[in-house]
Amino acid sequence: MRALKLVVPLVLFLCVAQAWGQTPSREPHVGYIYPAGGKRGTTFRITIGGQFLRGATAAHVSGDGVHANVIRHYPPLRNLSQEQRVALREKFLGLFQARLAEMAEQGLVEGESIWRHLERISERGRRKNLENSESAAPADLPEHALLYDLESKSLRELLHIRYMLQQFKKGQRNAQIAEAVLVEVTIDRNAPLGTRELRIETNQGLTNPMAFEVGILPEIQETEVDDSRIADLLPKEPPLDLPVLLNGQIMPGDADRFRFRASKGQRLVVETSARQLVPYLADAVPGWFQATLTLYNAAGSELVFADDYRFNPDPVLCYDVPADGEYELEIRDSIYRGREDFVYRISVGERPFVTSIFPLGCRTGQKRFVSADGWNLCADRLFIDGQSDPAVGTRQKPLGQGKAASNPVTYDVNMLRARAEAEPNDDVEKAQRVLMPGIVDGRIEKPGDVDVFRFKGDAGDEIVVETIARQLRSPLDSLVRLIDAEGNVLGWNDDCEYKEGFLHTDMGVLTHHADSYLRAKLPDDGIYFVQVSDAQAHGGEEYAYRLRLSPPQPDFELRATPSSINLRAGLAAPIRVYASRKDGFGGEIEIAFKGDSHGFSLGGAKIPAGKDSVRITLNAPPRPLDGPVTLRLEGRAVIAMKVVTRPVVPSEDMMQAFLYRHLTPSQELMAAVRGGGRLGRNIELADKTPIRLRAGSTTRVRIAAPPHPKLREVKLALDQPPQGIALSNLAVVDGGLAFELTAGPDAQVGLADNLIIVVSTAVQRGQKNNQAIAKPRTELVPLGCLPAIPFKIIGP
Amino acid sequence: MNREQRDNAITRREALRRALFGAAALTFLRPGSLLAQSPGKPPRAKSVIQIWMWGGPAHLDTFDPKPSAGYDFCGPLTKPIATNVPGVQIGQLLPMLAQQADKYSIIRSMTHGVNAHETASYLVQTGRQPGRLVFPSAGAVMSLFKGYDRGYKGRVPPYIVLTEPQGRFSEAGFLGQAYKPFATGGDPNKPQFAVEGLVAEGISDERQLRRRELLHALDTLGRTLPGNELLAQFDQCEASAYELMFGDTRAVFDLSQEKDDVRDLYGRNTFGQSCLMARRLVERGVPYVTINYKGWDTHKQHFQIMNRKLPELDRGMAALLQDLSERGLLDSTIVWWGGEFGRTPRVQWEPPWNGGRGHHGACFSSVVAGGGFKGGHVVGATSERGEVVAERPVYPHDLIGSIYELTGIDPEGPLPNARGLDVCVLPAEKDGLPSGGRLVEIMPS
Repeated sequence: MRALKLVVPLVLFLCVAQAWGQTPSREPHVGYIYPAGGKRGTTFRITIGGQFLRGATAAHVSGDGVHANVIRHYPPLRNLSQEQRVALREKFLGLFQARLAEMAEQGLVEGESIWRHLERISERGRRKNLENSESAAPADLPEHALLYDLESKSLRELLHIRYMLQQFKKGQRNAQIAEAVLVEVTIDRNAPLGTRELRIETNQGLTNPMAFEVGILPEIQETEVDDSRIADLLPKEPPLDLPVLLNGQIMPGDADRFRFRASKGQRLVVETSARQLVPYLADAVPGWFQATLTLYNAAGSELVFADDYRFNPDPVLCYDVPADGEYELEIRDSIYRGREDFVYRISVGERPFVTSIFPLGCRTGQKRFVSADGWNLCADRLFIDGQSDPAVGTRQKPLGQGKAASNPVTYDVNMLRARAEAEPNDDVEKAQRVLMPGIVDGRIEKPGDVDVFRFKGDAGDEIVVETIARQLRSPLDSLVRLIDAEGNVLGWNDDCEYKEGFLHTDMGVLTHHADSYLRAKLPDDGIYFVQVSDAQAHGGEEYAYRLRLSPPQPDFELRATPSSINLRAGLAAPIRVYASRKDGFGGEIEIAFKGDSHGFSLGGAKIPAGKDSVRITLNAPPRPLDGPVTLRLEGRAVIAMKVVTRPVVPSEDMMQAFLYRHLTPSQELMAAVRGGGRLGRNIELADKTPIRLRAGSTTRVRIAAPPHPKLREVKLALDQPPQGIALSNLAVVDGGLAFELTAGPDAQVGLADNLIIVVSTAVQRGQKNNQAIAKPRTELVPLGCLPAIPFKIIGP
Repeated sequence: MNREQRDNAITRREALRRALFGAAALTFLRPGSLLAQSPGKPPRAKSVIQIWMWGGPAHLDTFDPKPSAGYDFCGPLTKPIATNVPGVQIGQLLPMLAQQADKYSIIRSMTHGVNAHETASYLVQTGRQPGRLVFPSAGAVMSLFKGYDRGYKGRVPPYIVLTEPQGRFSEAGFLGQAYKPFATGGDPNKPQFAVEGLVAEGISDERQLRRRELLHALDTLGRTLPGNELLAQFDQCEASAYELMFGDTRAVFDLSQEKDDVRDLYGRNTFGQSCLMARRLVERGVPYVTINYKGWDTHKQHFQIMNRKLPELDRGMAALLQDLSERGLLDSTIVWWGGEFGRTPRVQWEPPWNGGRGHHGACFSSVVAGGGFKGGHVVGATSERGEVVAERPVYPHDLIGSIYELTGIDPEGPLPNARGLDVCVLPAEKDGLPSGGRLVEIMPS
């Protein structure tokens, strides 16, 4: 009978998703935050630019002590109507007049002359408007975050808003940042300092995270007065007192200047956050806002310029002030591009700034001081801790606390015993003897320096030579060579990177994978040498490294994208988990929750042996959740008879400059579950897994689902199927759904992976066209996925 | 005129200077004596019209539709159309070209694997991998082998670009300035096609001639050295330049001489009128004309742009093929359509693209017609979703080599140059480049 039910199903569709129009992805997305941070103990408003943000209800900031409330959402500012232009002009003229009167009363300006200029620039538009419209009726102001609470703005702020509005007319419209959400943020007095992540929650789900900085300095926002005649007539703003944090946005052709007072002997550190706020831009070359800083004296002479800091695109200026006086700082894009998402924050003052530490790490279970060098430091050593959290890997901490806290310093915790490099060790004769396995903490002390180490090995030994430097923010671009006793170079390596095509899976915001990795089998018993140098022949105290010399230590690191996941109750969403396999580890890795799963489960949660990535599913609980939850995942594998556990680092897959992609780490993995799954609850695979698909034949698959009228309306489609696999003959059957999976003759025998199947429903939509309703069309609206279906292709 | 246009524009003064320089170069440097024609059959093609799809056109939406790949790949363009060649379908927005399919062959398996504009443009237009030497484009090679060095007598330069310079690579490479294309500037769709250096908007012919008279009046050196050979050459060059500006040659660029219905057939837009202009140029024997057709780098608003531009392409290119054919010119004129790469088959629906296509060098389409190329054929194939080459890869040097053979240039022969470099016209098998071979299936047997 059961077979009969399967044979006579109500065939819904023959996997014909492609025959229907499908609604493009409308995942809410954030492109920038301005200002991208604030001072502890203050309340202020921020604008968040993005797309598909309608229905924004809440803002979530990672960590403690930051509270954010959505004020309202603004749609893209499209072409203004004649009436809106008039309303805008009249509004600004009225406000200009009121502010001028206030300033004139205080004796700050001679209002008449400025007013003439303000009227003139406003009249330009008016004349043009009048040519088009004899009598424009009054209208409401257009909706835009810039126009919120205009009455509270100063004259300079009003002129800045006018400037920004004019920029929108000039540039190409960028849909991905055209919407805005205005948010009020309160940062507690005791909120931890540092970079957080902010996500907007809409009725369509969570956005991607964006960086939001919690600081301690007084902050200001730029006010741009682009008309030089008006700027000359305005009272000169007093120079800024240091320290200060400057916020701004660079628009096309823009260069922002800030004047401040400094005293002789001050050791100024000017540190920029620009690229680190928005790490990658997909639709720009080189793929980020490339800020430049220039410092001028009161006479307008350039004193110092920076367009980066070592390998970091965000510039840092360190400057010994030679005389009391006023100075001016300029920031712009290196090639004068600009857009709303060219956001910056610049800290200026005698700020502590660590330029290098040595050594670059410690052993697990160990606490120690390392020497620190830099500007305005409260101490010349930094305490690093491998004891309280014994996990291997990189850590970050500042030197000092509170107001004296420096920039974050990156260090390494490793399980191997470390010893320091001892000079002279510049050639084979003076090579420093080291024991395997171990770490050598060294540095390339001067340009052209070469460090040579020797060790004894046996024929057939497999060894790994690895430098850990750039990933710890050392400027060293290492080059390693393995040399035998006769001077033959057995192997060498400059850069080592993990990538799949154009996707870099290991280094996040670093784009030059400068660390070296070499694995070799020793041919004979005897003495061997390892040579470390800088590939660009640079050197200095800061060119530090950790050199690992050891037999292979199989291990792995895991990253998963995306870091914000939106689901419907009872359905699933795909996550791609990437494994960076170390020292030849090729085994299976099982993914699991760490801590509370909040009712979620995982589908297909295994990275098969030998594979570097797999798409699994996060399966939602059967009912919607009240709000987003934070999840933690970890990977488990058996290595040398022991279970090894490593965290899964949530990441965003970000594109750089139209092509390259990078997995950029996030602080949290967040998931939001809403209703409307339409399929009922507890959808799961009814068959045993992995499903065995025989090449050249068809396999029937059953999905268990409680009876639900909407089941008949759903369509299933394979998402990114492997070669030769097709889905067909979807049917409602007793107990759920059934469909067929066909493995064609070109399917890869032996392949083991997960199938991701998208669940969609058909919606009839009419299309407005010249005020007439065009022929209704059918759109497929994706609802989510089925839990991942593990499969294996077997021979015919 | 923006800064870039200004930098690229050629002034009248510059045109005169170039004419003088060119004439002098021809007097003292004649590598033509070194040129060797293809040792094989006599040339079939006299001219090439290259429709350069600047930015890289989407192969799925033009000549390699994949309706079964689904919405994520096709977007709304899911209904390819039949052509007048049984079994051959092309994109639904190219109905006029569908009716000309018997005149052209589609190469669906072009590949080079490069996704960067500059490198891909260089690869496709030179047939060479980037290296120490900058090689000349096919147009410059044609200018060398079919231009003044080989007896071309036309006053219109032998290598013309309509209308803007390509800009992404040096077209002449190591051959030097004399083989660079002449970019017309202006807009052939405007009432007056203001060809750079020939027609200056705002300066009447009378005013220009008065200027010449004034220049002669100030020419004291010429008067004091009557009979000087160099100055005589200078005078000859000047006369040539003015002949170009005021003689019959200028009429070549005067599209008002065409009937309205002919102009309408090509489409009243810059591309359509450029196609018409190209026909007029090859009719007068110009060996190589590139129509630099911009606007195909459709990272955003892809389908909106397709809806706007493909009908323009369709009308202009179809009219060109039909017109060349009706005038008996197609047999001696190769029409080569293509860009530096294709576009990603999978539509990028996510922000910031919101329905765009990225660069795709793994496979893309080119189209060739006339000059000996057979029509009505499809060469090669791509995979089910147009992501990779499935059959018969064709590399840029395979295609360019086929064009050279049909024009009588030996692809394996020496490429003469003033720098004395010992190089061949195209890379050979010994250079180790992958090759699918010449397009023998669509070339005369």
